[in-house]
Amino acid sequence: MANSFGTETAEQIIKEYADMIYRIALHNLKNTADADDILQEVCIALITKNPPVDDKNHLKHWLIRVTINKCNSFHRSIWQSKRECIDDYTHLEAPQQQTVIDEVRQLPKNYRNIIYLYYYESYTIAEIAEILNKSPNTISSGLQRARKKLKKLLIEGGYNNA
Amino acid sequence: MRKNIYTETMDSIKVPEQSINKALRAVREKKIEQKENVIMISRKLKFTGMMAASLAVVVAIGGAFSLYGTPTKNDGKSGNSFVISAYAAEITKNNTAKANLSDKGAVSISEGDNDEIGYNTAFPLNCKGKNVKSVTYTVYKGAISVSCYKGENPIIEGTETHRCDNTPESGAYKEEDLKSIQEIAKTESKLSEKELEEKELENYKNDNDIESKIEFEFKHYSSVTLDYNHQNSEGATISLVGSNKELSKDEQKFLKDNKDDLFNLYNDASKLEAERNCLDKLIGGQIIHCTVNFTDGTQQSQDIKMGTEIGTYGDLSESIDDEKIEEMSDDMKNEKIVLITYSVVK
Repeated sequence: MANSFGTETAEQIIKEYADMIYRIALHNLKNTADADDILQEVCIALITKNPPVDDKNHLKHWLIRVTINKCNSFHRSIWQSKRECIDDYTHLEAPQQQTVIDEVRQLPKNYRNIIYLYYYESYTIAEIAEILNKSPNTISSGLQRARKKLKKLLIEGGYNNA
Repeated sequence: MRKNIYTETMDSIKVPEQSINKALRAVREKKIEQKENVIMISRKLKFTGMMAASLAVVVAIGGAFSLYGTPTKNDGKSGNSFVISAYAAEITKNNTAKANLSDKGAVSISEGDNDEIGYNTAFPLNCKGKNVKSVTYTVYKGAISVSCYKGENPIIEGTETHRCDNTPESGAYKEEDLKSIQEIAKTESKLSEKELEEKELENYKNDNDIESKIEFEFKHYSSVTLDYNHQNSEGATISLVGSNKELSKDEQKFLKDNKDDLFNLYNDASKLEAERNCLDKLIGGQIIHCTVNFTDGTQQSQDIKMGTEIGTYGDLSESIDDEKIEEMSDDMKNEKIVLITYSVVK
């Protein structure tokens, strides 16, 4: 099969991007167990779909989009919608960091992804629009809205000091 | 760069070791499975003999093209008339369109390869009129960027430029990548149904999955002509892009730090003026020369100038959120922001 890459390449890619996939999954899902499942699914997709691995940017875009799509599919499954979550979110050592992740998770799902891609992965609005298949205006308005909501939450939480 | 609590939080989130090991195990097992030819196919597309590069994603509609208002520039004889608008506001001698396009809005700020600051904003202008055949927009700094599916460029006529090589654009994809996909498609299309079922195929398009390739065209122009009836072309993103070497290192750092002020927590009135000043250097002073081409062969033109000012959300010509201006709280309406203005050059 053309473009098929070996186990070693797949493993290198997984080790390099596992944290990113996991973080995106945590932004979209309810608990760490679900994020684990998404990581497995994305890894399987990696070796069954064989995206081009020579262009790092393209590969990263591909992984982000597959992860988000897998999360969306996860949400849509009937079993998931009926399941009650008994797990809590990620447990972070620093309480203030736990608060931040909890507050981010109160945002609508699309806003969480935009915030993550813009502020943590440093993508431009045009790039985020391409990754998420939205118009740049949708992305910019989502970003602005997310910021407003988070600002309110974080100021109330006391995080307004430099 | 000032680290903020959000990026620190993200830094601290690491996938547990056992999850990585589980994923690696799954990959190894899957690879073995592939070698033993036990393959699950999830075919979402039917191959045809003509299928080549995959269909893909992306390319949202660019521009906040809006068609509001009544034509105001009328030659009085032939009935030809037009008005240029931006963000739902007609731009006339008595009216300036205002948009929230700071870095925290729709203008992307990023560094080019040589540390230059670049910007990218959806092309703001739209023309409405009578007897209009096409509209030509010309810029004298920066460029008009068009990205679209290959072969579907909405530009009727254009003058290409290489003026902006360091703007925050998404890159085009390599030709050799597309060729390998085409080769796969040609090979696979000759296989029988049974052979296809026995062989693992790449899915090119799926409701829930990602296209692996994008066939893209990506150009910069100093001047573009658009058909009047296809100004808002589906499948194409038209943007205004540019970069500016005149910004000092401090000003570049300021814009970048401002972008990193995740929740606008550190913003204050003095910073707004500094932000306005930097944005003015970057994007202000841009003149977009608009030539309206009528069906009778005549033309009229108007120059639109971009500028900056400090205003409020209540001053916006059009909400860019779902939240309408009239529905905003008073606090929100009165919140000060940097505005990008579009006015007629007199």
